[in-house]
Amino acid sequence: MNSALITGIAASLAVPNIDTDTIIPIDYCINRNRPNFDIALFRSWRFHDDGSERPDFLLNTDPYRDTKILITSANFGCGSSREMAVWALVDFGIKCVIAPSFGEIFYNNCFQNGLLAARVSDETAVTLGRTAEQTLGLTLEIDVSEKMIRTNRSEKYQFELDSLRSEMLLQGLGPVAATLTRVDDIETFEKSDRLRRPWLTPQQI
Amino acid sequence: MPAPAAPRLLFDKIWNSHCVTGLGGGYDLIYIDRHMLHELASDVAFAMLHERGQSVRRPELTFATHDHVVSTAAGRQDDTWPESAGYIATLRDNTARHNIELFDLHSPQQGIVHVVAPELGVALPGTTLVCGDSHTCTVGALGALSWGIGTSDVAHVLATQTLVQLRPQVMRIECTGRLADGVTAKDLVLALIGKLGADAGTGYAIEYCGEAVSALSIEARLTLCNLSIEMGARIGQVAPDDSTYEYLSGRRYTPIGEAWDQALVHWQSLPSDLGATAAREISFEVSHLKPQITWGTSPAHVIDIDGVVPDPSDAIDAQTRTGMEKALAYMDLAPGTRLADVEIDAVFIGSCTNSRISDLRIAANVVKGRHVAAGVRALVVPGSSQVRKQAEAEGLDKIFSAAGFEWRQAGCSMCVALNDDRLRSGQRCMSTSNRNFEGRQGKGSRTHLASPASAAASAICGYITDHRSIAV
Repeated sequence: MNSALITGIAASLAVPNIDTDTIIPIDYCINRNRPNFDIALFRSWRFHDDGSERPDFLLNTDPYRDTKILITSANFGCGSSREMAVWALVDFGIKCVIAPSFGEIFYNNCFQNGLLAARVSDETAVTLGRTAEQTLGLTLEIDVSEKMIRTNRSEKYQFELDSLRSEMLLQGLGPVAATLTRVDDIETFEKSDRLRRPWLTPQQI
Repeated sequence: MPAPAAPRLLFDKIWNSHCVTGLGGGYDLIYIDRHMLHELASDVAFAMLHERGQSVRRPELTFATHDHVVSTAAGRQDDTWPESAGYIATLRDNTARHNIELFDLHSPQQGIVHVVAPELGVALPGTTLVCGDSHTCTVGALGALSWGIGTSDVAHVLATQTLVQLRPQVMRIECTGRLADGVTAKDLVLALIGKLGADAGTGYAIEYCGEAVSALSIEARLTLCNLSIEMGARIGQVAPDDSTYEYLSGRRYTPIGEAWDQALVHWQSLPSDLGATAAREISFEVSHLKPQITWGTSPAHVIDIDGVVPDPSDAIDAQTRTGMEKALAYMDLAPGTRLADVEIDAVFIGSCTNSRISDLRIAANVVKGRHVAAGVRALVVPGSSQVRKQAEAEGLDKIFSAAGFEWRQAGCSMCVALNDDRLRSGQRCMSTSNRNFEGRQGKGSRTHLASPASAAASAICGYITDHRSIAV
């Protein structure tokens, strides 16, 4: 991301407990390379069996084909740990998902891939969702540094984001590289742990 | 005299002893004792590792098997399900290259990761264990601290043997009373999810305790912990006790001799101290529980098996109502319908939730001398090749086959529907698995989650059945 600001069209999908199977069905996860997962996103809600679009699904209508921000309900991304759910959202062009709560594994996967999962109060999610439904092509501006969502009518809503995840987004911080700078700490832990728990290393009977 | 240490919870003891270093803001770098790999979530992770020029830090703490994509057909080969051949070959290459133990397709140890980890003694009390699968919470039943992770984190563990983790709070659920005959751990945990909600556990590690939990076998505790993620909690645990030690003794990777004695001393120090309190304490009385069944597309959409489908107009808020209406339309059910009269097309007995030997014994006991109803496809998929072998030694395979069930090879099968074990659109299935999401068992599939006994009874009757009504 490397930018403190996300601006774009916001779409409301006010359904609770949208699971990662719905975000991307397992059939589309069977791909051993990392293809573009755009067409897999919300596959069965977005497309008929023959591949044609369902005209009544919001993301199939203009201007929501260009949705950058998704406003949704509690427990978004619950269920399976499949990181392809995040990849599908990112590949579609989603930069931010706003919800009162997220499936935790999904939440963690978002930040590994530069996708902002913005946690807001129940009231804010409902208000923002309603505003999006009533305003065709509502554009939001999301300030990651300030943890603030702004409408073009200058309404402001706070979201939750801790500093580690904020840094991951702003600096494109790679967690593996960061951890590998602590390899001395890991070695020290392993040495003392070998004395503390000599039984730990598996030995086949 | 030193001041007595503050009382601590099971979770705190394990977390604290695995903290390599604090990272600030509630984050810790946590050491990982055991890493399970399967074919689906590992190949992109290995590709990330190789791209960065990194190696596997502790291959001897890492174990791999094939479960998600592999065919479960009798006499299966790598390419019996064509898509699986590439996955199997890649995992074979990667594990050989990095010197990781692989329970390969024809290994007697092959099986579903969360069934294999306990039965081989890979998962142990007080250890941290992760896997690229959300149901890794299962093995918390042994008093391990275990959770599911995404692909990027699998690569992180391979390279560093650690994870950057935000410390969760603890929710302790005390289950009081005793389960009635015919009511199982599956019914208990489904009822809990129904009562607390599908996101009640978000941000928490759950500890299950109380007399009803102590009374459960280890296999039943594995079922209980398995569904923690369906309550939103990545982690579910039961403190180790004598049942745990008895279960673990003599397993393939369990410590032996002096190492066992040392480990046992450590394990016995793990249960929550008297006076330690959790951020959220819940008491749940189980004596009145009936067998449970889901009616909708969230595990929280659950009722007593003799109950009726609820009415969305009674929902507590507009969004819950929207979710219920969407679920009813998908499931093709109307409010007020008695589920126990609804006809089914298929029955699936398997998955990391309910595919262990005790589950198969319960199901076999219901179907013995009976036959699957006409028009119903019924599958039994053992959780591991060891479970399959044990079941065959006990003659359970013959009971199932005589009753018209398909007796299959070990794997995730119709829980994840990655191979040809899947339903056709519109088909309705009684399933012992863990997720009733839209399309979970195949595009357009309709899933009712229940216990092995309920699933077995329903296979015989051809409609959703309270197994107690056809008592053996």
